[in-house]
Amino acid sequence: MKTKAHTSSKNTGDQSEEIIRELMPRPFGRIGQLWVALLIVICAVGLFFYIQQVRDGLGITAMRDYSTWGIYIANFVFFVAISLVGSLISAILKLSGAQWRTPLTRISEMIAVPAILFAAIVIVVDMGRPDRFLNVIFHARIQSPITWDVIVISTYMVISLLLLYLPLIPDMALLRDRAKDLPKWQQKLYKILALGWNNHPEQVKILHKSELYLSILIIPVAFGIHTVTSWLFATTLRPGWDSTNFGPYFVSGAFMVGAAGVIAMMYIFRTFYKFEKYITDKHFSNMGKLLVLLSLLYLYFNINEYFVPAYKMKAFESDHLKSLFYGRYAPLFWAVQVFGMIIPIIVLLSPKGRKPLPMFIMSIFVIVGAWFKRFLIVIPTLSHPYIPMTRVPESWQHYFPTFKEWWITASTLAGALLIMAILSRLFPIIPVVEEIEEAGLAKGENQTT
Amino acid sequence: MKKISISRHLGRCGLFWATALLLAATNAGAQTESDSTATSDENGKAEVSIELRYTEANNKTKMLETTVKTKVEDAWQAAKGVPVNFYRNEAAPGQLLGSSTSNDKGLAMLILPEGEEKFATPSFEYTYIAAIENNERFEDTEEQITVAESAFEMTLEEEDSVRQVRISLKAMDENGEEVPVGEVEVNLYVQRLFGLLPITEDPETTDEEGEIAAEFPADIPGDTAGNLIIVARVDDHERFGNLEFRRKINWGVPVVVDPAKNARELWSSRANAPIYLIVIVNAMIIGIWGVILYIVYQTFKIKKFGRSKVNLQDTK
Repeated sequence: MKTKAHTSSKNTGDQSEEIIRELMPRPFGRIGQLWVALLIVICAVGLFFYIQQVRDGLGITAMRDYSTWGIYIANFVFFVAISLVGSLISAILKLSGAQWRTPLTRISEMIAVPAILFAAIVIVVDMGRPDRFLNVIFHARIQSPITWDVIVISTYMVISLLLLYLPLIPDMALLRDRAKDLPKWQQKLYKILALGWNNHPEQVKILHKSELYLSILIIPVAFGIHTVTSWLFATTLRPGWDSTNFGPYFVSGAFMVGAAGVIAMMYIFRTFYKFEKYITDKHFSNMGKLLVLLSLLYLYFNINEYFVPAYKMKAFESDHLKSLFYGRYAPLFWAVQVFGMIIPIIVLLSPKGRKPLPMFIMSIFVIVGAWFKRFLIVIPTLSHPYIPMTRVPESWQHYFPTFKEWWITASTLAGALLIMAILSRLFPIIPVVEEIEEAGLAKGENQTT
Repeated sequence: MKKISISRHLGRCGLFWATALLLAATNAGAQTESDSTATSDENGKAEVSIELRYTEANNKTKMLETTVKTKVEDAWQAAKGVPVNFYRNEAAPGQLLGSSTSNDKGLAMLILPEGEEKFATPSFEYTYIAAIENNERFEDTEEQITVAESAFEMTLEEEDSVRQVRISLKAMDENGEEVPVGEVEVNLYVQRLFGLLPITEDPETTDEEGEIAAEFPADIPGDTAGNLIIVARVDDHERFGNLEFRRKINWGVPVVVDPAKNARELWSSRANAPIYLIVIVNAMIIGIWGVILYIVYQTFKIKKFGRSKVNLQDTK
């Protein structure tokens, strides 16, 4: 009763102040600094190996005549997949009126932007001659899915950047006006990014209208980006890829890993920044239900993807399928299906399983499973071409990434995490002004001063 | 295999200094690795071999070609980046013809200057030497080749719809007279996109007149005008080296280009993309990017309204 009385005695200004104080970006603690240092070291070593690759060619990888795509492309598909989280939280939940999504929108865009950026980078990393990248644009064949992919990735990247930036503008104004003790460059950055925001009704109107348009626009583009990525495979006549199911199979898998990505980041930010008041158990529970739904959808497409070809067991498909079911790739295949999909579904169906810690563990299962799932989509197919392998060294008939290839791949993942860390250091992780508005404290208040 | 080096391109671009340092470090590392695997003598220099070949094309262009190899773990492998000096008659500074550096296949080549005839010996022979000298990585090695002056010619004749390839091979005797050379195997080919197509089952052999007359098949596809390149070659002859003669003639069956190949289809070239696809893709790009540009334009308007002083007063 005392607490209640105390709270009620607070005026709305004090409550706004409290929200602002709690949600302002904060310097990294010891663990944060160590984390950033670790990521920088991984990236630097990865850059060193990449320079070797540019100098010596793709011969430093395990890719050869048959396995022309390796973990770089698996990693690319993973990045594209996880970037779809932006459209899930910022667009689909927004348009469906799910108000609880507010504290999660920026986290989702902070994942989406680095992910799509690194998807594009990884494609260049996969090129033996990166200096020829512009040929893809200047000599593009509009009939080629690769051309469509370049178009749709660049479009999605711009929309994701806008979806990250536009809702940030009021928060930038808040930081511009309050963060006077910060370094000059940081104050200048906030001032530029605030775009002179002063809560003018026309500004508010433009912002809301632009966000709405972007939310609508990003949905077909998001479906497009991962459908086109799936067509890079499905338009090729190869066992395992020659499937009409690939578009929805990829899109559903992408939404699943995207949701898991948000859950993992929610848990990390909530734990390290003490955001329990803003990212509540209710948020975890809702995201858990969403993840179960998306996982069941993905399970359904997995059954379609494997059951129908397995029922027919066409001669050329059988080697590929057997290698997945009980051959060379079976341990990885079943681990991905069980730990990356079945167990998370079972755990998250229970209310106890939708508590923050089990949710975090399950989301890590889903993310790791999703990465290796892309490995299983890309590599085993290339190891089973329709025309038998002849006159190649025995080592070329299998693919296992080299140490440098693993490291370069790890460094792209570290790079994406580093950008996320920098974004979370510079900008509020939870939209401050939106939180104040939702708390009903905005009336009569100027959030920007 | 997609194994390509582009360090030169990087250099041109003038990358960030740290990148340059890293590159230098990796270069140094790679050098050491390469050397450590090669078989070395007591001076620390690797064993190297040179194979020297002489080629004369169309009785005109004369070329020296070497393959440089080094021993790596008991196997001979091509040695890249090794400077090779080419000499006439003896390996002396005054006889240097030129230098060339071996490529990734170990090949180093030199085209001989015109007017070599004046350097012929009284027996109308030429001696050439390829040498690796004073190299930091490889021991000194040289290889010598002696070739005789020859006149290798190909004429193409058509009589009563029968097409014939006529070859003539002559060499100089000690009096400087041209004499025919018999019993020399000559291969006849047609140049195709990715190689040479033999037009006889076995090599033809010159008769005592130093001549060959071979019938040319009438069913070989040419270009749209029926043009073909016919190639006659003597390979690795112990006296003459490699001799080659090429001639272009319209003896092929003209290829008729299927007009369907110029149709606008999904599998056509970029210039022949289907109209419906061009329209759909461009409509989507214009539609989506139109909205994006509109939003960017609106974002700039936010800044414009931010300059309104009246509103600042209202909100403070």
